[in-house]
Amino acid sequence: MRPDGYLSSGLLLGCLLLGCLGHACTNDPAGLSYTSVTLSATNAQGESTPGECTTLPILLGSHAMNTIDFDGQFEARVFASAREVEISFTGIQDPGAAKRTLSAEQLDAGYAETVTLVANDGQQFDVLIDSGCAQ
Amino acid sequence: MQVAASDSGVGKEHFRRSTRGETLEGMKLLLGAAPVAAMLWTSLAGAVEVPDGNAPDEAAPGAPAPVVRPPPPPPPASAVQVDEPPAPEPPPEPTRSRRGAPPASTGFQAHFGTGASFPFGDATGRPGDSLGARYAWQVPFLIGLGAKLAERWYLGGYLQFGFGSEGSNPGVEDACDDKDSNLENDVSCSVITIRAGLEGEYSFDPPARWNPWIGYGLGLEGVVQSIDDEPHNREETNSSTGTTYAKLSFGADYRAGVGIGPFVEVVATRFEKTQTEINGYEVHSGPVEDRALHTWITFGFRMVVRP
Repeated sequence: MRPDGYLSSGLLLGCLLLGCLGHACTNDPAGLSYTSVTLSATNAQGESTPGECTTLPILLGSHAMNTIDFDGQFEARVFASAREVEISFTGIQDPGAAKRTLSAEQLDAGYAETVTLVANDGQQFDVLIDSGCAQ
Repeated sequence: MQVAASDSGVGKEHFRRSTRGETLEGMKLLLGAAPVAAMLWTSLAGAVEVPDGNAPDEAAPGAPAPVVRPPPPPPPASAVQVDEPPAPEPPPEPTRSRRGAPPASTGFQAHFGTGASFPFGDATGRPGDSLGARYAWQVPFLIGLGAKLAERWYLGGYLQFGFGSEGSNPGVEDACDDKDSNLENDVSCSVITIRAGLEGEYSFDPPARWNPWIGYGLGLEGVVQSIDDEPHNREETNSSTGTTYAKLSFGADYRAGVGIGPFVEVVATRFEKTQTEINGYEVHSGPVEDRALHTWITFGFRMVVRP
């Protein structure tokens, strides 16, 4: 420190460098963990469509709406809130039976289910509902 | 002064004549002083203020009933008949300030306020979705611009901003907590409430030093809540908007150069529309299905320009 009480520029620079190093060492960005669900489909010939992930929102009152088109054969509608996700299908036979409502707790605990659907044109699909997001 | 004879032969006419000189002299003096006395009385009545509730004609609770005195008997018909000039009517009492308060204003008026707002009720009808679970208490800033249409009546617009944080929902509270020790807020949360509309106010005692008032308003309310997850570069924003059906307020202003005073405000709103954005992209927008009524109760102070 200079006699007049001010820090010298070298000392100040050193402090700044030390501060930056310290910051880098202690910086452990964890962020948030998200709940998500992925839907993918496989037809009778074994051809798969890539899965599409929907992340549940964090805030109460928030919603996320995702409509997934499976090669024009049928559609899945994923309506997610912070607490649960509703999965419904259109373009299939007996859509009521294929509808699912999964809680965030179920997804956090790990969830996987294969739902067999018959599209309106008669083709059969296996839809995999899987917790997590591969993306 | 001579005593008038009461001889019946002379009668009252004699009385009038015998005392005519002195009586008329006195009457003239009295009559000349009457208007002056009336003016003095009017001035004194205006200068000496009687506090409300202490007026002499108001009986205090529990005080004995006032003694009712019979009116004085009418003067005999033989009394001195002098054409008295009509007593001057007191001028219409102007609106006076009381105890040095400025006179009640009309025309432009503005008020500014702040305080603390607390959430009550339900944001939606879904279980657990109370307003307090979503949003914590807030610090509001209130602006009102309008006009005093009359001394007692104010009409104007209001604009309010409220700033706060997340509510008591454990999941959101946990998400908003900064769990590491790097002195950086990796996950930041905020809530902003915006409210606008029209309001009217009624003043109970506009020229008084303390003027109590009540108000009613209606308008729109929007609450924007966001959570910014910097490590994942993900920001979620939820907006809920609805109609404010009642903005009830009451308070009292201490009137000096400006008015300052406490107030309480209860705002009742029902959310009707909700919108969610992730990183600025809208992922959902639609009506609120399970609508419910919620209220914000604010305790604060306000300042009134041209009270």
